[in-house]
Amino acid sequence: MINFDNAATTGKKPQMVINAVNNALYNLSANPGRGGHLLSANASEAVYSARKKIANYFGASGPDRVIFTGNCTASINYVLKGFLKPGDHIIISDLEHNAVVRPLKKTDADVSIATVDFTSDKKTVENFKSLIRDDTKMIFCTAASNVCGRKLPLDELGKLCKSRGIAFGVDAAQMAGIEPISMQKTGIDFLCIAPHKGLYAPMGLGILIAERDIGDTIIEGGTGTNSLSSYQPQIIPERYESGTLNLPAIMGASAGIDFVEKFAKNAYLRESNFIKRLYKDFEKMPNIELYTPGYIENLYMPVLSFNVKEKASEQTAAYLDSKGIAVRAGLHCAPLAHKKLGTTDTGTVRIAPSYFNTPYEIDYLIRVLKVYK
Amino acid sequence: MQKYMLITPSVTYALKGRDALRRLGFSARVERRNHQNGTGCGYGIVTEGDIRRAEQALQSSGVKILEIIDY
Repeated sequence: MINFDNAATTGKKPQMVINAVNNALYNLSANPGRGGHLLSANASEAVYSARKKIANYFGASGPDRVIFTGNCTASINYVLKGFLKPGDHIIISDLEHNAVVRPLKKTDADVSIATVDFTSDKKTVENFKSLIRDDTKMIFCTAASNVCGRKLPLDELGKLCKSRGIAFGVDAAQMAGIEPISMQKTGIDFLCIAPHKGLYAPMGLGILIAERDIGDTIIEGGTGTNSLSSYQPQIIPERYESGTLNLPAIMGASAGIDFVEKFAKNAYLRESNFIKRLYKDFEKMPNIELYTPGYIENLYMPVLSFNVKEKASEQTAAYLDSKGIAVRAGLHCAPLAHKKLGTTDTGTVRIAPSYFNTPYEIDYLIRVLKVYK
Repeated sequence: MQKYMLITPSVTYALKGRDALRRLGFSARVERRNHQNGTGCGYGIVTEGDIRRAEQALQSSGVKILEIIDY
């Protein structure tokens, strides 16, 4: 099966990651930060090493800023529900995933939505700027749309937030591992990461890196310290890590960073070339409908949405499935983005390659779509 | 030489503190502390030598020390 559904989770995991997960299950099956015996100490050491590596990779100020959660959605929930109070003003983009939209609905925050321009970062920043009020508490946005790949100008938005004293949070689900992110350089306060995507880790792990106080907790429980107190400890990362950590997945994420640094540093360019090739051919195919103005390098991540004319997106996905190609159809849990693209009624077919796809697989995809009627 | 245990708020801070002390040439290791009335479970850094210098080094590394006890 050819997997082009890598924006949902990278379909093929590197052997380095599989080995690290196996090693964790064989040799590190003890609860980190709980016991005092050698096995628990080794597990704590392994988790701490992973925190150091992750902090370094994402340009964070230290390993204690790295919080392990259940998934990227949980990371986003921790930030939005912990940091915001009912009525607080927040600005998001019109490309956000429901991982942002739904928690915000629950917080009862006052939400403004900034328009992302498909070709101009300057216009996008101006749109955010025009919505800032005296009481704006936070800008939270995706690093890149999971539907069309449009990137947000993080450096410029980081500067804007810093100059106005506003917190800056980023959902990096579609970017982390594919393109470098430096929190300190960009001025990101909260970075939410899905390591099972661009870092090729197993599912069931999220990362939240917090450079400033998150505030309230949404889950409380055992942290392995100060057990007599009925109150959640103030110290991070443990304050936000109640319950047992997913150590095998954490080891997988750590090995995923090694993989990306050693073999996939050019992932962005490699995957971008696949999408450029698709645009080039799709633009000549009368049965294909595109929704974004070509692949503009540096403004887009390697994700492409399209439809085959007069076919429902799910129909096209089912056809491709029958030809041995996995893609994702529908709304991709991001109705705001589909409203912007005008595809709320139809959804789109999404192509998202990974490091492991080949040019021959792109050729095959084009061939089978050319004959699809 | 007198040994001390510097009690930290978490295992993460204990490990961070251990690394900071080792960088300065201290011998340091992390151990689970004995159960204490009033707090309960916790971790500490076992070290020896100039304890004031060690404490200052941890403070400048952002590692909070809750208590220093003779080991």
